[in-house]
Parts: sequence; C-alpha cells; structure tokens
Amino acid sequence: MADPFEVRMRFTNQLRQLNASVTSAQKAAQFALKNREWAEDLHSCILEQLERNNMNTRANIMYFIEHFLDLATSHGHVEYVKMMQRDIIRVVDAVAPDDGSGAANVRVVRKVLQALQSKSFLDRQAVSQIEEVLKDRDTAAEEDVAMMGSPADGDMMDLGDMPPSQTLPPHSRRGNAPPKLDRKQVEQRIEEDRERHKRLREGIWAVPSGDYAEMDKLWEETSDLGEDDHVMGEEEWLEWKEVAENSCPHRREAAANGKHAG
Amino acid sequence: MTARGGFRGGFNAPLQPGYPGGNRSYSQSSGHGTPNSSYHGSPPVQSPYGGSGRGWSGQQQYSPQSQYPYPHGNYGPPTGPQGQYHSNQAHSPPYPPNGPSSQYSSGPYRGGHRGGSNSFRGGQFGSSRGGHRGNFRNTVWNANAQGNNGRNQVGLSEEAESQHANTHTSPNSHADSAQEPEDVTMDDIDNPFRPSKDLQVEDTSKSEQATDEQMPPPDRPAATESQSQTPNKFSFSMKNASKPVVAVPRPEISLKFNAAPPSRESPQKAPEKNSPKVDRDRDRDRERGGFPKNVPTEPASARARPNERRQPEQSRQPDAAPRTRRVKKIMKRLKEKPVLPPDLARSKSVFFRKPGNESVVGSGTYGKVFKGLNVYTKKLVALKRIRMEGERDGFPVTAVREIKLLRSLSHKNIVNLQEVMVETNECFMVFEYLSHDLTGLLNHPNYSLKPAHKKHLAQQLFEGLEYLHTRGVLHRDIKAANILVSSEGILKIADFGLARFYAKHHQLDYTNRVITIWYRSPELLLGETQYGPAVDIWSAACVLVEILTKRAIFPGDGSEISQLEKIHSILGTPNRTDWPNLIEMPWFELLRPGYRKPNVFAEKYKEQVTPAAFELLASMFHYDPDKRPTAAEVLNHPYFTTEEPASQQAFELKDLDGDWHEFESKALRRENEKKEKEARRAQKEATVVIARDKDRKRPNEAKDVTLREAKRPHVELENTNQQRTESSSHEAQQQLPSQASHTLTNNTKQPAAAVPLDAQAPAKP
Repeated sequence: MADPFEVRMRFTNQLRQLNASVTSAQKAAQFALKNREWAEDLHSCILEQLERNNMNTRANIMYFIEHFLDLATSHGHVEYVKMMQRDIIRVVDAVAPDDGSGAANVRVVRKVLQALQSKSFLDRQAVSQIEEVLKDRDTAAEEDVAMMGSPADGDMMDLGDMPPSQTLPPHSRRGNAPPKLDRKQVEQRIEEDRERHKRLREGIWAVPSGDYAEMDKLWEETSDLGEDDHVMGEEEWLEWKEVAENSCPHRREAAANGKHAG
Repeated sequence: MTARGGFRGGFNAPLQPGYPGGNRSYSQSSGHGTPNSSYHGSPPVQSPYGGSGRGWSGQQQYSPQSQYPYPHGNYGPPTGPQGQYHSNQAHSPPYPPNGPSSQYSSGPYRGGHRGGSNSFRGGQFGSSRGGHRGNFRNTVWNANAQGNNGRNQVGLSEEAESQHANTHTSPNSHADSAQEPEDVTMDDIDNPFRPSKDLQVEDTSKSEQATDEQMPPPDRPAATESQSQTPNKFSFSMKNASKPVVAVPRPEISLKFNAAPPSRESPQKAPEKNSPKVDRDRDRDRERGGFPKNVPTEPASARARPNERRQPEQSRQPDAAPRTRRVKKIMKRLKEKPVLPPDLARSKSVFFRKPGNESVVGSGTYGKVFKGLNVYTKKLVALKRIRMEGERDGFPVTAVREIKLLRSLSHKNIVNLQEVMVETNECFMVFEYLSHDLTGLLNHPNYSLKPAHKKHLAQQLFEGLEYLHTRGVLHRDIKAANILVSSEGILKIADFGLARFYAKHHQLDYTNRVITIWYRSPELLLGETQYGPAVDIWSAACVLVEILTKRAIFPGDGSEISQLEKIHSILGTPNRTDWPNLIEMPWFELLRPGYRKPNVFAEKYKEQVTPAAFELLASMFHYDPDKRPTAAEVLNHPYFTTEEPASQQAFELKDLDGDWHEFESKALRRENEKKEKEARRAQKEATVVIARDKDRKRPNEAKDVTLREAKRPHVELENTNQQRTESSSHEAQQQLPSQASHTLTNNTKQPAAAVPLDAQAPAKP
C-alpha cells in the first residue's frame, strides 16, 4: 500500500462502484481510514469523482460521505471531517449543480446535509446557507413544472455520462437540455433508491429505549377505533360461534336437532 | 355394527319385506363382524324369540335367519344379528311372542335406542348391541347413551318380562328398577334421554345383570314366555322407544356384560354367550374407536326420536292391548362406503392433480398454481404452491403474511383460503377453485360479456375492494389476472402476496415496488412511499377499462419511464394545478418528462363506454391520489346506481367451455402466434425458394446441416434428453419444406445418437 498512486487508483475505483448497499460504502470508508497518511489525496479523490461521474454516482458518493464521516469520527480521524467541512459547498455544487442537471439530487443533498448537521459535522449556519441556495434551485424546478417540462424531447436520452457541468453556462430553460440521466441510469437510480428506502425501513422495528417507549410507540401507531374494528369483531364472533358449534359432534347434533325440533 | 345391521335388518324387515332389508343389514353387519358374532351369541336365544317376536314378517324369517344356525355356526353373527334385529323389531312390535324376543328384545330396545328397538338389542344382547349401535351411529358418548337406553330398555324389557312373565328370574330384579324407568320413560318419551339416562344408569347395571341372567331364561323359556310376555314386551317396546332417546353409556353395559358373561354362560348356553361376549367386547372396542365416525350417522337419532315417540304411543296402547300394537321401527342403513374411482384412489394426495403440467392453471414469481380435485368431496380447489427454492431463511415471510392476511378476511368477493397443506415437503395454500380469471375471460376467443354482466363484475370488484379498505388492507396487486370469476359469474379478488395492513389514521412509509406495472398509479411510479388505498383504486380503474373495452389502457414495456409515457400519452402530462404534491414525489425530477402532452382520455374513451362509465373512469384516473374516489364512493356512482342497464350476474358463464385464466389465454396466444409464425415462414420460404436461385442456396444449407450433424452427437451426449428434443424440434422448425431431404437425414441420424443417451439417462420427459 505504500504506493500513493495505487492507493488513489483503488479508492477512485471504489468510489465509482459505490451503490446503495452499506457494504460498498463501508469498504471504501475503511480503505480511506486505513490509508489516512494520504488523507489529503483521498479527500481530493472524493471531490474529483464527485465532479466527474454521472448524477447517480454523485448521489451515491453523497450518501457515502455521511457514512464515511461517521466512521472517521468513531476512529478519531478528524482530519477527514475537517476537510469535508471546508469543502462542503463544492460538494453540494457538484451533487446538485444549479444548471438543473442535478435536480434529482437536490433531495439527496438535503437529506445528507441534515444528517451531517444532526451529527454535528456541520454547523447550523452553514447548512442553512446551503439550504437557501438549494431552495433557489428547487424554485427553478418548480417553474419548470409550471411549464410542464422543456420541449426538447429526445435530448434527455443521449447525454448520459457527461463531464461535470461546472464550466457549462448556467442552465437556461430554453437552452440546452441538461445532462439528464439516460433511461438505464434512471432505472438504476430507482432501484438504488428503493434499496436505500428498504434499509431505512429496516429500522422501523427497532424499539426505542426508555421505560415506556415501546408502549408509547404502539399507542402512537395504533389506529383509533373505527368501523373496521367492528367489522372485524363481528367476523371473529361469527367464526368463534361456528367453531364452537362444530367443536364437538354433540353440539353439532344438538344444533341440527334443535333445528329439526324447532 | 351388528346392531346396526340388525337394526337395519330389523327395520328393513318390518318396513320392507324384511328379508331383503335383512339381507342388506346382514351384509353390513357382517362387515362389522364382531357385533354380529355377539349377536349371534345372543341370537341363538333370540332366534326363538325372533321367531316368535317377529312373527310378523318375521317368524319365518327369523327362523330362516337360521339365526340359530348362524349364531351357532358363527355365521350367525351377520345373520344372527339380522335375525335378531328382525326378530326384535318384529317381536316387540307385533306379538307378545316377541316377548321372548322382547327380552332379547333388546332388539326392540335397540330399536328404541335408535328407534327404540335398536336400543333394546344393544341392551339385551348385550350391551354389545348397544355398543354396536354406538359404534355405528353415535360417538362413544352417544353410544353410551344408547347403551344406557338399551340397558334401560333392556331393563324395561326385562322388567316387563319379569312383571308380565316372571319367568325370568333375573328379570324380576331388573323389573324393579326397570319398571320405574319404564314409567318414567313412558312419561318422558319425548325427553327420554335425560331421565332415562339416570334411570338407565342404575337400570343398566341391573339390566345388564338381568340380561345376563335373563338371557338364559329367554333362551329356554323363550317360546312360551315370549307369548305370555308379549304384552310386557310391548310395554318394553314402548319403553324402548322412550329409551332410545336416552343415551346410556354403553361402555358400562359392555363392561357389565363382560363381567356378566360367566354367569350368563352358566345359565345360558355357554358357547353362545361366550361368543357374544367376545363379540361385544370387540364391539365395544369398535364402538369406542368408531364412535366418532358414527357420530355423523347419529342424526339418525333424530329419526329415532320420532319413531320412539310413535312407538311409545303405540306401545302404550299395546300395553293395554299389546298384541294389536305395531311398532314401526326405522332402521338406519349405513351409507355405502364411498368407493373412489381407481384413478382417484391412486392419487397420493387428497387433492388429485393431473400429472405433469396438465394441472397448472397459473404461474408466476410466487410459484405455480395447480388445479386439484378433492378425491372425497369431488370439489375443485386451486393449490398455490409456495416456492421454497432459493429461500435461505426458511419459510418465506411473504407467504406467512399472505396466509395471515387471508385468514383474517372473509367476504364473498375475496377468495377463500380453505387451508394450508404440507405435502411431500411442499407447502400449498388451498383455495376454492374458480374457473376463470378476468384476463382469460376477456380474451376468450368467442365469448363476450354483456354490458349488464360487465357492470356486475365491476360492482363486485369494488365491493371486494371496499371491504379490503375498510378492513385496512391494501391489496397492492389488483390486476385483471388476479381477479377470478366463477362459472356463476361471481367475482373474487385473489393473490394477496403483496397485500398488507395499512395504518388508516396516519401515514406510514411503505415500499413503492408494488403492483404490476401496467396497473401502477403515477404516485407510485414517481417513487411515493407514503400512499394509501388510492393506489388500488387506480389499478381497479385500469381493470374496469379492461372489462369495458377488453384492452389494457396503459400497456407499457415494463419500465417506469415507459409506463409514465403511456399514462402521459392518454391523460396528458401532470401539472401542479391538478396535483399539488407532484413535485414532492421523490422521483419527480428523475422522471420528469421532457415534453408536454394534452389529455386525450375523452377522445379515446368517450365513445367506447357509456357516459356514466366515462365519468367514473375519469374520476378514478386523477393524477392526484387525493382526488380519486374511494371504493365506497365508486359504488355510489350513477354508473352503478342509476345508469341502465342494471348490473346482472353472468350466469351464462356456466355454459362456457373450459376454464379461462390468463394462463390458458396466454397459451392460446402463444399457440396462435406460433401458427402464424410458421405460416408466415412457410410462405416466406416458398417465395424465397421460387425467387432465388436454388442451386446457390442448397449447398449452403447442406453445409449447415452437415455441420450440425457433426456436432450433434457430442451435444446430445452432454445435454439432457429434453434439451436434445428441444434442439431437434427447433431444427425441424427451422428447416423448411425445401430442405425436406436434409431433415430426413437428420431424423434418421438423431435416433442413433439418442439411444446411448437414453440408456444413460433413464429420466425421460
């Protein structure tokens, strides 16, 4: 591992191959922590890859950053955290560029920023400033909605893996179509988002700590008594009755006889 | 059994020209064997009685029954019982002579039990009869009850006998106890069971003893006594009638009998008794074991009551003038044991399935669905095999969820899960079988539904949906292929593999990877994870379009993008005015169309459906899920409530030949496509052959063929037979008429190559 070039290469590859799985992020993060003597280099790797890859990979790297900083802090390697704090604006610009090409990533950026703030990797002020910028970009998107999309119909198909858009002129709605994801990438992104969502949901079973936490949670999640509860109650009652009547031949017979006798 | 047989026989005898009936009963009783034997034992004694008793039809019969001979001979059992029974029945009712028989008359008693006479038999002959009866009809308890009845009856009979003709020594003792019971029974005829039981219990012991003791006397004195006793017997019969009602624990009787045998033997003919006892024991055992089975037959008891009641009345009169009385004994015949046709009998499963893929009626990611026939009830079921392949974590949790959910649902428009079955290491969910599904029905080659039928189907769909949603269930896979239709036109929603309970009063987060994509609502396509019943409404609207027009409205290519494009192409591109939350959709930016389209839904569908139907569809196809109607609101739409024609159940489906599911219609489509393809290819080939230079083409083909042939042997040896046949058929298809000669050579060579393979791999398709 002594070769810094090799370390760079390998980390770059890992960043490119990030996906929605936790293991891929953990692998890259552990690699970076293990080679922290080149922390500066590896950090620049992250920025570089953020600006060079498609929007899917950028989103994946964004999610990775949260994971990575978590791990770095827990191992006491604050240099990574500090570098990230310094360059966070650049990261956000790369993941959700203001030309509209990264509109689909705005949501990702928001989510990760909030998480970073809640873990005190970023201060509140920085986050709110970034939020302001994002809101602008979002607003732009909303105007777009009102217009029902740009007329350039087929363009979005062919602009897959475009180089970073930093140098491109800001997106004008009437101008060139932004380098949107192609179909394949859209589908990949959908799958990755679903995967992430699934992992998110894995936590819903966790019981919060505290004396009455579980009870409170149940109480919170239980619906009010509704008509469906009565429907269910009636069904259960009928079922119970039927079972009771058929539970034993005598009863069955008695029931039958009763009918005849009646 | 014998008791039954006897009863039957007896009943038959009285009712029918005894013998035929008797014969039947015999046969039956014979089956029971032991009981018969016991009877036999007693029968001999009885036989005289029987002769006297049944004098009716009977005496001859009785005698003929040769019960004596039989009993003696062992044969007796079957016949004996019958004879006895006959005798009993005949005896008690007809003549005093029966009296003797009456003792035996346990026969009549037996009847009492069942119908009175039966109980008697049981009682006297022993408890064995009672036990027999019990075995036959009643469960153990019933049997016991009967036994008691029988005992009581016996006791009564004995009492009667003793009273009337004290000839029987033992009877007297019995008589005491019995008399009381008799009275009681008389009074309680209608409610004989309870009182009689109590009485009986006491009586029974006595009766048993008495019977033992009595038994002998009857045998000896039988003829004389019987006559004198007849009146008594009549009374007995009366009692019997009442007694039958009461269910006496036969086991006790039987036990007593068992104990009693020795004494009986001494007084009576030892051999006879012994055999009866043994039989009785067996009977008892059978009874105990068999009661459950008999239980269902017991309903007969209901019959018995009326008989008993009648008898009691009659008997009462008879008491006054016994000889004139006639007791109608109703014999119960055992239903013939159902015999399975050989093909069903060979089935290893309760649910017979045709071999191989013949029974498959559906298949999907979940596994396969088979059509099965319950070999006993002959009812059809659909067996959904739960796929276990590739399940690392054991039984799939999705299947557990589906089962749990289905178990909690009960509605006429929701498919009914009958049971879950494990068989040969596979797990099946057993559903009621419905002949069609909507896809199959709508693609039927020549049947189309009438508007009123369509409306009825739609109505049922939304009724089912309304039930699900009120119960807090999201189906999440509503589509035409998951909607079953019975041959009476009843619709049922099926396949709850993706269904789940949802929180009705607050929004939770669910996966958006649900619903077959053609039926998936826009919010799901745009990544929404907090959704509700409106997703099912969208799907149902798609199904409704199919019901009305036979065509899917949004047939995309399977990707989210294409699906949205399909929706856009009809409903136009969505906007924030119609759907304020549009931009909140997680994948709004990701999937935002680069174009704008107008809504052409009206253009395309207004002409195809009625005005109300169009209005309803338009309301359900709102982009904004909050604006879609609920299932209950749909049901109140004018389309269902006012617009003509009113909905009408599609009974005509009964006349539809065969079953039509998506599976069959797909197979049909494949078949048609294949035919078309072949026709086209043949045509093409023909033209090609004509148009092109034949000389040029032939050499090439020849080369190909030889090449293939050269390779084939290796391939075949490596591959399975199935693959080989596939490849060969494939080649055959590819080779066109012009290459006939080549194909020929192929065919001749293939078998040679196949031989070693077959030898190696015996597993052939």
